[in-house]
Amino acid sequence: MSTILEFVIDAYSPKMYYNGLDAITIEWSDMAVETAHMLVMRTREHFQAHPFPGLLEMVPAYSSLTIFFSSKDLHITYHALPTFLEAELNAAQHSGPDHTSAEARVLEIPVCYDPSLAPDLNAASASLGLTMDELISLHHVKRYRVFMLGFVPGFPYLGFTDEQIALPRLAQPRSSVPSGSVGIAGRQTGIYPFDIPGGWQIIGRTPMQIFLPTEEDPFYLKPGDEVQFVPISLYEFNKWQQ
Amino acid sequence: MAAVVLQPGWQSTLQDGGRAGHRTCGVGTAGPMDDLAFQMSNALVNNPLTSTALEIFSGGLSLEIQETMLMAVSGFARILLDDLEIPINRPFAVKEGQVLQIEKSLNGLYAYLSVAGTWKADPWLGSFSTDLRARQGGFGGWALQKTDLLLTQHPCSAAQMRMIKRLLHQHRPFAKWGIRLEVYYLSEEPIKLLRGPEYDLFPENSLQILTTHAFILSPRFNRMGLAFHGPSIRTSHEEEMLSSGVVPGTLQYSKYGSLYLLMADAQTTGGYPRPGIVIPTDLHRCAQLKPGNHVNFEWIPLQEAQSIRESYQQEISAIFRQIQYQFQ
Repeated sequence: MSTILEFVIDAYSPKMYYNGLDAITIEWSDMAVETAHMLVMRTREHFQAHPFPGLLEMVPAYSSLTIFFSSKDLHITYHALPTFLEAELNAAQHSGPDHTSAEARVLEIPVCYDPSLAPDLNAASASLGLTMDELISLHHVKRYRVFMLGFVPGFPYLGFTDEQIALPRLAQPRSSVPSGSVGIAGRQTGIYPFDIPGGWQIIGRTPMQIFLPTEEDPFYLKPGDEVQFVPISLYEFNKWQQ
Repeated sequence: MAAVVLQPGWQSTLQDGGRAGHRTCGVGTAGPMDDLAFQMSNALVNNPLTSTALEIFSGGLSLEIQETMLMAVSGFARILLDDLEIPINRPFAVKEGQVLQIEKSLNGLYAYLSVAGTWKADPWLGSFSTDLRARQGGFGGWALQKTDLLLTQHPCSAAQMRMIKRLLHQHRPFAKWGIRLEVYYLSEEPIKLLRGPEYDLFPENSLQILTTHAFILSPRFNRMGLAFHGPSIRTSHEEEMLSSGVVPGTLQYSKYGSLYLLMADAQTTGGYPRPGIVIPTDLHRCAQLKPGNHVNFEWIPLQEAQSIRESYQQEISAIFRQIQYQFQ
């Protein structure tokens, strides 16, 4: 994999911009998102292994990595930061496969696609010209990558779904979507970590808690993980919840 | 015991300096809307500057005091201790049985109530700030409710005890000294903007509109952000953007062309085009805007924003030193 990544870095120099006074975003925007996201994760791993003075935290997204820093703790001048980061990106490229992530974690998440838990399933499949079963199987047959967590704490943005089940957001967002609801927006799919207003079309629900606020690490899913949805019956869903 | 909530107000939440280090999991910083007033209220009771304070939105808070305590309020509010009006930005002493009321002010929306020894709060992911979406941290993850019991975290220091004694010996239990912060809020100066990540996607006339027209705060605002009424501007291409990391202070345009400023409870990622980012030292002014208030924006280079922040921090540190001197 590392040879491919090196080629890509050489071929596409990422864009870099200040994101306010205390952050810089590196963006690999001119390539397929899956490839860009591997570079995002690889770059993050590099800075985790070799943090520079003043580095505070990093936000990986689809094709970008936002790096937060404390300007007073930098070992270089503020304005030298982009040049420094560019050099680091080169170092990340040449540091070899030891920093490339091992195989992504694959996490199975049970989903019940029963219409009683999936308020948009019926209308969505009709609008797509599919049967409910077709929509359901197109949704769970594919393994998805966790591109990022955002929107609310622990909300995973998974992608990408089959084009045939891409759905627009609801014109009128719901004032409360139950915890565990599985939704689609465009070719993204996601899981609501707790009850919250939202506008994704809900096609199923998992009985699994992906947000465990009292645990030391409350987040079951992390950027870079892969998710395999496993369909379960309403009976299994209810049994799980007990 | 320390204080019982008789009336919780519109939205009173416990906030500390903010929650860092968990943006990668979608956890925003939370923390105070008005960082300046928050730090000042802590300084005025001789607490560490990022101690947990009570953020009070638009007044309406009433507390029954259960023991002697040293307090201060900064930001904008009217303060009543029983029938006595307490000046803002001064420490004051309260005693068992008194009722403290924090009422709204005409000049701003947020006030901070600090107590010597710090309000006790629930920690979550390394911070005491309330995350209203995940319902974690602060006071049970939520705004105060009637009959909640507010406790203090630590006993008072010797310096804080001395101040309490001094104030209780006076005819009126508030300090004869105070600080003045009007200059940091009532400025007519435009709000300063850095170029945002999508600056180049906006046509020149749209970018000009941003700095030549006044924008009016709409009634649609909360701790996540403020929406403005004003002329609509558009990016030159209308494709959906991929979401990426966003910061408080981001000015973004929604699909419908309305301007929105992300604040303390901003989400960590977003996908709207961002023409500009408000500099950190102007965010407390934005937080205190009221619906109907006009603002103007002005572009400044990164370097200028850096030097503005440096001199701002020096000024603020000088105020902190003056306050500390009173506790010696």
